[in-house]
Amino acid sequence: MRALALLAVALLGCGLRPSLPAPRRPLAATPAGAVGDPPTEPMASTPFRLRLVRRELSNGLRVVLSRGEPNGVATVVFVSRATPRWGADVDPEVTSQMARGLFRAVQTDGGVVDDPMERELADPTVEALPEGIRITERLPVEELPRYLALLERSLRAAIFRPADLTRDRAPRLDRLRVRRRGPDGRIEAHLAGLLHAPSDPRARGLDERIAGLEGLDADALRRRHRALSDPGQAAIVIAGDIDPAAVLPLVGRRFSAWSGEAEPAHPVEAGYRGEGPRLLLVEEPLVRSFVRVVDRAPPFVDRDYAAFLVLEQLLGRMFGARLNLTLRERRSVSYGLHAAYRASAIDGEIELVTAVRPDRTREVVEQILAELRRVRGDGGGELEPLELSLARTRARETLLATLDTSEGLARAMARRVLAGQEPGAMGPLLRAIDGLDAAAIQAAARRWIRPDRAVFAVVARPDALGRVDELPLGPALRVARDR
Amino acid sequence: MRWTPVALLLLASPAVVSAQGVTEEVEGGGAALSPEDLAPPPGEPEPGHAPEGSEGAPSVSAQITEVEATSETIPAPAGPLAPEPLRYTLDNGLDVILQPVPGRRFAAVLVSYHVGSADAPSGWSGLAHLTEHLMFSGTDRLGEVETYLQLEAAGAVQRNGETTPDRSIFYSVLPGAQLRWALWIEAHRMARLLAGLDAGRVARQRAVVLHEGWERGVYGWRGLLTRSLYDGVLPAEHPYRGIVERADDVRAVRLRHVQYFFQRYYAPDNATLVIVGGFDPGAAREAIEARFGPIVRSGRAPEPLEAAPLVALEAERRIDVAIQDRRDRLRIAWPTPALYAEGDAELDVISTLLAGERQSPLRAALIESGLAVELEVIQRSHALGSVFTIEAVPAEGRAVEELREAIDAALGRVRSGGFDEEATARAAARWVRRVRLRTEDLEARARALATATERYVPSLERERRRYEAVDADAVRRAMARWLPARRRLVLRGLASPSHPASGEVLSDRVITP
Repeated sequence: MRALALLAVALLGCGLRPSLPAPRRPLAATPAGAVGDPPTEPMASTPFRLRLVRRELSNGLRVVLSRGEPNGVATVVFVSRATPRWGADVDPEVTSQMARGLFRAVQTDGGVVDDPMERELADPTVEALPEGIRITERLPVEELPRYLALLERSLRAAIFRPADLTRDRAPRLDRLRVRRRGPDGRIEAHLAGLLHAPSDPRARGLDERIAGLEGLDADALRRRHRALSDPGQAAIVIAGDIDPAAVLPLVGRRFSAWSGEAEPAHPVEAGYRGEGPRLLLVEEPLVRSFVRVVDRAPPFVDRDYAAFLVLEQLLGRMFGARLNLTLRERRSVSYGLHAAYRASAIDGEIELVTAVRPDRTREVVEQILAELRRVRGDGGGELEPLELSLARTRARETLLATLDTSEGLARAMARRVLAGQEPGAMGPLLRAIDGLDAAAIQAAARRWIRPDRAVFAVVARPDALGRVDELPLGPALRVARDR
Repeated sequence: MRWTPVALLLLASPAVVSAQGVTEEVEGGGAALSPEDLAPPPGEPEPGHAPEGSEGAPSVSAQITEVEATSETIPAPAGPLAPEPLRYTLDNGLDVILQPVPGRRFAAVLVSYHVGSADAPSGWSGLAHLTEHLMFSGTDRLGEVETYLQLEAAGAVQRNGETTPDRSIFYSVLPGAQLRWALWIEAHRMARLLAGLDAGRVARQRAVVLHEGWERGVYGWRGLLTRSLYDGVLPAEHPYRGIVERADDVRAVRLRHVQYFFQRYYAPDNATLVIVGGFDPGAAREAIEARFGPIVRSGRAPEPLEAAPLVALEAERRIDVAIQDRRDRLRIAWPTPALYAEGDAELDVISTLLAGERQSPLRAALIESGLAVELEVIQRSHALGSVFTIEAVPAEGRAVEELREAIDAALGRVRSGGFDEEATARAAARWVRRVRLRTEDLEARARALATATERYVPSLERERRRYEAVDADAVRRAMARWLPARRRLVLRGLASPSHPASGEVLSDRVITP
């Protein structure tokens, strides 16, 4: 074995590889047709049924319960719109850091307890969403009473010690500062400001985020936490292997005494820039150019939400997206292109990302521009009925797949509650997806996507950037390499 | 390039499941809770906000029962987490594992070929990966890219392939009602891929693989770091040496090489088919027999790769690599037992004991102290041997040597004091919990089942028992045997934006104790 390995190394050193045996004939030993024709009939389908119990406690906290698969697992999601990330008068970093510190320490009658969730093996995910806070934990069902108790205690009695803030913030700041010097950070320092109006907090770039984090103090976190303590603006959603008749009293007893009242929150709606540069060129001697295109998109409460779920697939969420196939398979310039549509209750964004051969950067930017025009129907651009069918199927099944687990279902329902929607009314959305035709999708695209306003960010070698700069995308903001 | 007209493709596509099957039932119409539901538990303190200025209050450690006493209970489900999966073998050698999950709308379908990057001959790194890509490039009946498109048309929300050192897997998660489509596609490409493969398809997927390699940094300093890690820890003859893909090797692959490789390894007697989720097992068995039963292999089956069990290094090896980055990196690694071998579960638990919680020794010494900004401790388990790794990135102004010293000091304390029963039980409980939560994740369950060996099927229940069996004594033994001091690899990535993008080995030394 060792001799063979040495021989291989020697051959490689001479620029030769050991030859491989020739393939046998016939190449495919199994005759054509042996495995039969494609199936014609689907197998029996499992209907999707949502069984919900909805109640409201006397303090205004809403409770939604859904019994699911008998597998011993459940998911608890707490949401509150009292502390939106894009609050009118609060630095978004205050909300984010408050959310991160929620389970760091709690006050009890016996003193302060550090990391109460971690001690119980729980590891809730806390998200500062544009429209509020969402806390998610998937757990074995027998942990439910304990988790609810800890959740209530943390929501009510979390403390925010300056030393914890200092310790938690330091690595975050360090990572952001390192990132700031890299190509991603140099995009993020400018990109949001090119898309959003200066008055919109979303326009804050990485430098402002760093400054916001540096300026935080524990009092600001405590004030923000007090605003969170308002059951009237919150909901608890539990899905999974639960008996609502047993879980409902648990939630009632644990949370009905939770009190507090906050000023109604005023999340800032997205404001977009109408003018100025929208081409961001970042110099970096990379072996692949990175192209990122961002434009506005509807919030999920908008009538165009269903259309954008389909548009996301068409633009690059599905493998069969025309642009992905063109760049990856037909032109061989990229590993692929990916589209992502992110929607909250108050805003939305659609993004296309790809890495490409440097000498083909300009061509790819042009392709993306042309695709944005096509999905709008500009210049007679058309969506083929069958690509549309594929995109609708993918959009619908992707949505249904999220409802097939307790975590996906609870998170989706909680987000709807946060937006004031019926938590379980998924049917209309699914039917809306099925009912979309090309004209409806292009009309939705025209209402939101604007190729003359979308932000194009390109990180590439200077020679590749030079060719992109010649495109009719208006004046460019050029960021030199950080040395 | 031949393009299958999308129109033809979709005319033949599977029946679409309509959204009309979705119903919502609301019990009680959102009424308020009844008064008896609202009574707080006896002895419960009155709620109120945390006092200001609690900084410095006495900390109650390890007494979580004092945080929230609750007598309320929900019983844990009795019995096994799930029925044992059904496993059987077709006459042609195909290994089949079925795990129906009643009530689920979706199912995960996974075919695992027992061939990975370790099986490619020396100088042919990337051959397994490229062959994996070509499995999506059509057959004599499916046009190029049509495999992906058919799966998407069937409603697959996940569909992809993956090459590991040990196996090449192809998976989709799709509505259980469309299971027959996934089975037909998997059987058809196993039987007929070579009948449609030509030099053009190979060339196009070779380009895609190269794009992927560049995009993921495999051909740059990241790949060099991974290669240095595995080559630095494993003995010279080990099959995992040299498996990190090289661009030149990929460029050298031609149609005949793929044909040979496919014939040797892509056959029913070298594969496992796994289905987990909402499907009718009786109908699935019939479909599997009809689709996969007629497939025959070309030539003799390959001998499975073998490797002697790994043993600890005899000395400390230190490799320094120049990386084009803005922050240094430190990796400390030991060769460890293979997946499911004795010691593997113990090392998983040790990784949690060392860094799973804020007060865990390594996390406290590196992250909480402000010395490092990133820390990962992981047992990377593979079929022919594993690597236990501590990876850390220093904070600004800190050097990797400071990190190494802090790690050594923390490990020294652990070696002399050990972990007590309570800490070990908590760490093992985290792994048991992780197995339980996997119940919901069809793809993760299918992936786990695809690693089944002849003797061990990693069902949820068996995996739970594997971690429940780990105790403090077993942890002590595993630490002593597998993570000895000064007999390890210390790999430093020394960063500068001006270093070559490909990375460069600066030094490679053995430090004799």
